[in-house]
Amino acid sequence: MRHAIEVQGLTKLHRRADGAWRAALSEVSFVLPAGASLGLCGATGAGKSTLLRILAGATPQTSGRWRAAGPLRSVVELGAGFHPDLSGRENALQLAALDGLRGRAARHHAQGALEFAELVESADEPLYAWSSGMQLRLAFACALAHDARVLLLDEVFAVGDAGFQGRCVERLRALQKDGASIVLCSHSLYDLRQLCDRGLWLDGGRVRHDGACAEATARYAAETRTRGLAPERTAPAPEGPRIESVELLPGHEVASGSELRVRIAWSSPTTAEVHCGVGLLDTSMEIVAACGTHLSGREPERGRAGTFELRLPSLALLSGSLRVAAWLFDRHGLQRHDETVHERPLTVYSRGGEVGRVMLEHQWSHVEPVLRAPLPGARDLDATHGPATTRSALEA
Amino acid sequence: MGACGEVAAHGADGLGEAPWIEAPPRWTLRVLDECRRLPARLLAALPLAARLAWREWRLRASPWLLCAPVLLVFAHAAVLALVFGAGDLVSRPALAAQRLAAGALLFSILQHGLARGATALVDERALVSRRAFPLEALILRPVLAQAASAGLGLALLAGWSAFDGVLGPRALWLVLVVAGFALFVSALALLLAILHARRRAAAEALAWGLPLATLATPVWWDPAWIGAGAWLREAMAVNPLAAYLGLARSSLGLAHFEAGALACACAWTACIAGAALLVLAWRRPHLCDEV
Repeated sequence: MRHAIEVQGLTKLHRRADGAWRAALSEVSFVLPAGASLGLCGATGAGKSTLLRILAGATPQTSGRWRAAGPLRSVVELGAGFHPDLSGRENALQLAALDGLRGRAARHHAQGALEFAELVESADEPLYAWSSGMQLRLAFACALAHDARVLLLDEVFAVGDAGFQGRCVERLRALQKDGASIVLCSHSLYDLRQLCDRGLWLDGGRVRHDGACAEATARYAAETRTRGLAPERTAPAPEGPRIESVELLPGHEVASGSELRVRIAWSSPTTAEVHCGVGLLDTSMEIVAACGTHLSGREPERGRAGTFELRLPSLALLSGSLRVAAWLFDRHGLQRHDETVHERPLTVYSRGGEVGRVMLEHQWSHVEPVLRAPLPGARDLDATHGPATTRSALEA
Repeated sequence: MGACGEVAAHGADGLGEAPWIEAPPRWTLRVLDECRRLPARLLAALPLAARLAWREWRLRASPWLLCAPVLLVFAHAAVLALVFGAGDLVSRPALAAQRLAAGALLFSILQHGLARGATALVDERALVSRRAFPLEALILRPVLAQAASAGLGLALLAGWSAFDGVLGPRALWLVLVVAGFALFVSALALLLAILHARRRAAAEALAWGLPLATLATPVWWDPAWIGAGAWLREAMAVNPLAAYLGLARSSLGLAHFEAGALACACAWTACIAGAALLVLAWRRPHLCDEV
């Protein structure tokens, strides 16, 4: 199998001010198959950015080795290399020069980046006249304009408005479809799960888990909650589609196995394409179950207002108190426009004696062992006493 | 892609042909490796530095770019002539002004190139610490940009000398003198940049060092004016800045050519460049983390 990145025993040591050595990375090894995407998760100081800097070639490792197949582009700090007195076009050309492009290739690259960022009209104005958002969009566009086989992204995903972020996601997915590999570092576990198929959890510079992204992020999230650290932080878009109300039908008390409907009314100042998600949270705000229109394969709803209705025909939850959360996503199901947790808890009561959180649909059966054929001359007691006494009758 | 500006080859088809990026070896081995890689590094760094310098020069290019040194020369000439009664400035003002201008223009490469080149790595720390590209280009950029400005001024001076009829075939050497001085300043800037990345000391050192260098170098004054102390004239003979200024003035027909100055300039440039190469080989793997 061809690999995009192969890392063996990477270690990076830093000398602190007191002269002691600190391991930013310690014996990190992993393999990224070609065309796959890797999500890096971990607490602050775990070594995620250090790993990306080493792979970007910006800093050498202390020991170990690595290799990558194909051109490798990194976006580890937006705006690095920009000169405020140069125009946007000049800065794009300068970044292209730093990437080794020259002449027509550099001009083509710069023009492509400006068009992607929708900044062609402002291209010839000095950068100090641009807003910070425009500068970040140009920086991100310059990085994505390359036909890279391996792309490294470090906490740079939340750039620009929702429209630009959507185009960035489309561009990334197009690169993935073309077989490019992406290494994404983000504190948003949701973004990692949506974009990456493999996950690498770093803790204290060491690999804690290397496997499927969903599993790696789940393990990291569980560890985070255990340590009492801050949960995953989500930030709704400041001005965009909003959740107006969340309604539970038939009410806030439902029986196990009965139907539950959740209606989410939303509105938007401008026409938007949105997905909706609903989650049931336990008392520690951990998701017990969740559904999403994008996860169910539905197309996003387009408009300026509407009401989503989630119908759970047979609520498979047992007695307990849950909180109902609702989310409003962009058309990719990635960027969260808004989220809310219903103020009143949902109480579920079960009639039967089952215990636990979830009622599993099940069937019981029982199988008796196979008995020997009756001895010759033995009376067929089943005919007089019924099959229940067959065994005891034989013993007698 | 390698570490700290080193560009590694990539295999075309999967990892089977892609080379491993190993940890940097011990510094003794790195020196030999740096010497082996130097031509490739320069081939990568110089074009990039030239493009960056061109963009910066266009940004700064303005009529003031030429007027400022001219006004400076006239101001110094007036002070030296009227206040200090300097001989040549009074008796042969045109020649004296041309000598002053030649010295000031060439010395401006040192002033601006060192001042901005020495802090280039730290000023662009976001770029240096997170992106792989030839780091030398950042240090060469201000030196080349100022060399272009000074070269333009020296070309105008050459025209003036030609008009006066003192310009000879040796004027072609002016290109070599400017190139050699740019190399000398680049090497010095590289050493200071590495020092600044580690100790953040270059800015302070230049704040004191550049004025001293200006006084110790015959930019605004003539060595013939030195009165007492023959040892001072001998000290001037080993001053590389004085050597380069003498070569530039002799190229323009404004002074006599001295072979000793050529030997001094070449020796100092070779020593400083060699020292810069050794120090860079030693500190290159750490620069990205120190900035």
